[in-house]
Amino acid sequence: MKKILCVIIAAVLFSVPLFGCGGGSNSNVKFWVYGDESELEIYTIMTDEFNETYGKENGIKVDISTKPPGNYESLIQTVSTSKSGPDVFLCVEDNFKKWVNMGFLTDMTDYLDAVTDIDVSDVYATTVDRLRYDIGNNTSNPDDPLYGLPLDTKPSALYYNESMFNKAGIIVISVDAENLDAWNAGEIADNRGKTRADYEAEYPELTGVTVPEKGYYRSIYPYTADVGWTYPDVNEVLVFNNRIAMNWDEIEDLAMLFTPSYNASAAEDFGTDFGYFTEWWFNYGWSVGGDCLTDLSGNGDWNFSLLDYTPNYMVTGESYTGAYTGKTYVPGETLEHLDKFDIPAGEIMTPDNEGGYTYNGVKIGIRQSVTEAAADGTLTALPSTREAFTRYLKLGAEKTADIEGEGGLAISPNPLTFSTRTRMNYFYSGKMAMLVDYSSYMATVSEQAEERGFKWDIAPLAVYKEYVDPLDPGCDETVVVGKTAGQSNSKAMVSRERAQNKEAAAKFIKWMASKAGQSIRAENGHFPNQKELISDVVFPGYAPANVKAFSEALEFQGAGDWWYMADYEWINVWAVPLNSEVRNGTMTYDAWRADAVNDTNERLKLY
Amino acid sequence: MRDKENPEFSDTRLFKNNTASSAAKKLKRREDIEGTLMAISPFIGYILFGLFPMLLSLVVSFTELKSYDITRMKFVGFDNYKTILTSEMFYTSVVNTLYYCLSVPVNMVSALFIANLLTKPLKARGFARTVLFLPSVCSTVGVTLMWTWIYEANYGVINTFLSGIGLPKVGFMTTKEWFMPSVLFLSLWMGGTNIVLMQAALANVDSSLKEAARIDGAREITVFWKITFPGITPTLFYMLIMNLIGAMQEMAIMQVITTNGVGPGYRAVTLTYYLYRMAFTNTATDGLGMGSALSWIVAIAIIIITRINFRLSKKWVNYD
Repeated sequence: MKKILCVIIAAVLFSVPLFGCGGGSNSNVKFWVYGDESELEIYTIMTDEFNETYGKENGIKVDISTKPPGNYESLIQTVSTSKSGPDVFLCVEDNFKKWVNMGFLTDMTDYLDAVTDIDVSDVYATTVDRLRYDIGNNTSNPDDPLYGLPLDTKPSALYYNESMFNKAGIIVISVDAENLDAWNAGEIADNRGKTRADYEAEYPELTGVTVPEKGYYRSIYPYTADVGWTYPDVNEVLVFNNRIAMNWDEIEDLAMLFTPSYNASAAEDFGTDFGYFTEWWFNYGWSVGGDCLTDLSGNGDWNFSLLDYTPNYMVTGESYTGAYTGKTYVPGETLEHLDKFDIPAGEIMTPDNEGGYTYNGVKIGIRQSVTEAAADGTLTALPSTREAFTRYLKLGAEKTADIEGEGGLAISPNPLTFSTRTRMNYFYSGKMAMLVDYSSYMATVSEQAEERGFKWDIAPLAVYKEYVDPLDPGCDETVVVGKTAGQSNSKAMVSRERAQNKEAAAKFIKWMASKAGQSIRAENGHFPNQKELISDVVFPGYAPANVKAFSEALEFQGAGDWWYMADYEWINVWAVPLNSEVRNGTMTYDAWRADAVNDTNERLKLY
Repeated sequence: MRDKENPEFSDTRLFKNNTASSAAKKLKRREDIEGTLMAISPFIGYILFGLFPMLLSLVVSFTELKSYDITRMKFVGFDNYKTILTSEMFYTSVVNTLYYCLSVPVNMVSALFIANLLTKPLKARGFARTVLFLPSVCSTVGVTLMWTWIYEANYGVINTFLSGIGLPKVGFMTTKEWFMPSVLFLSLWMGGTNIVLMQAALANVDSSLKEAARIDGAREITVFWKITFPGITPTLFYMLIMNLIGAMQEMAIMQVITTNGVGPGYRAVTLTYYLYRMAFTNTATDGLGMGSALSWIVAIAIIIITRINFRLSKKWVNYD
């Protein structure tokens, strides 16, 4: 009897771990998810709908399984080489290329192509392209292998404290650029349903003032980096329009009003430490057509280009054909490095440690055809990537810092002092007037605003915009407007190389990304991945009035630099000393710059 | 004389000789099997989860493996070792590790001081002992997370206090200069185990010897250096070895406390954290091969340092 008992116990003990590995479920597709409560709820609703409709028709059942967010990544990596584990799971941008390189994600191109009865052609290209990847060339071109489809995307925008703006005497309006003339004429109401007359009743100083097409308008002393900042005059009219992107001067101007080192009464009047914070340089660098990495051959010869000091060029004529790539650029596009620099087609230029380039040992400049096109108006010169980047850098640098011979502005805190949680905490606790962050914080800010009793809303990210006469307060005619740019964070559905049911996984992934799946997201207050569905979104009570700023951003915002390579150690090489030493004033910008290009390019050779 | 026909009872056997020995043998064999099975299970455990991974990591250290799939290994000889030993980051991590190792003497001296205090007839001795030991039983991750909030640059308790009294805020975790001292203080706070060990060691010192010395007119300082200290050297030596090995393997605090993964100016990258990052964070570029190679470099360094410590211990550790 004892022996039998021993055998039974041994058998049970031995088989328990095997049950764990073997997966006792009858489901065809195992779908592992993580997220906050609302995300998990929507994933479950979508999966249930799939099971009841398309899944039932095609004999597929998806078993959704929630995993703890804290160790989701390590859990996925643990099962990477196992036969068991999920067929479909979520992948954030940071891990995408790393997991592909590790041979862990499966190329879904053929599997997805084979599913012909589901259409995903309307999914934002910006979110699909970031899931394409050619490992050999390290490129993400439209014809490169596709590893999955986007499930959800978080766009970014500028959160601002409207109560604080009102307290500072700023009139906040919400008028789209195309409606501004009509609104100024008193013919129409703005997006908040208020006409000019309504505002004039509340703010008599607005009477007789034509509000120009500017994100932030000052009627007497507009700020420019050259002229410097002046405290608003007692008779000055200040208008903030949350439908128009501010330019770099305007956002700095506004931020200075809430920064005690500029406005001595800011701490007392508003309780603020700083005016503005953005952790990301993207809407600065990308706005002028620059980037931190540039492909020097078109085949994945990556080079650190954030310190490129030559102007960027935007097409402002009908079109322009690149001399190196042969690409036809349309208006609004900016030239790639290969077409901008004077390098013979098919040759590769070599980066120097200054941010410039050489060919055959000789320093090269801008291609003659480019300067000619700039002279005849086909192209318009924009600031260099370095200029854009240092403009961003100055936001948080101490006034005593030396960045390209100029001090910092100190209107932003050092990004290293913030974790994601604390930067939003800093905003809603009233220590900062404006913050760039993701749409996922809408509910938190709304809840906090209600509890703390302040009004808030969102606005588009700042953009490079050059006025004909920046010192004329009413002048809104522009010389050039840079690209509307910014960063969004996307979560994708992918499958494992060792997944057991890739065909069914592809069907499920495609259905979730299609209108059928995404309309469920829209109905439940989540941003869908298709423009067509944006108007169907039933925004919950916590969404800001100008929520359009988020949905519009989905169209153009791309993945951050953490997605560019298989990991972000190459970013650490230049960002760690920059954030921890240059911004704190313990290292000069020049000392940092001297090593940044070489060190980063050295690391880039590993990718 | 015994009657062969009627043997005495003591000569009577209850069963045949060969039957008895076969049962004993059977019992012995069963005991042997059971014993072997009992003994073999931890041995199998060691082979599977200790020896095999160790040997595997040695093999992997000579390969390029930028995946978790072992079939992707490519033999590269000593390349990984050469790359590591010539990389700037390796030496940065060595300096960071040595800096963190300062926690060992600091912890030992403070443990000795506090333990000595706790041997005095204090009123709240039990309470103090509990309070001091409590951090040691808490999870390192939990404690570190708590300290990240204490050190936080904007809302942290310390910085709130500093700004409250008009002093500038300090970037404990965000500036190169303050990062490691802040981590050292954190590790000091968690050093309750050392205090308990030290207290036990102090309690075991023969009090009659101390009394005799005092009667002979020895001063307290002399009593400490001539009697107490030699008596606690075996414990001090044990603490030195264990704490030093622990310090050379430090990773958890660094991983949790940093906001950017590497700390200001790479200050958080200790040797073990560096190897972890190579193997698991930068898998696609550095990989498990590099991580394994560094783990062997660290292991060899620990063995050498421990051997040196054992040699040196003959000069100062008193086992009498």
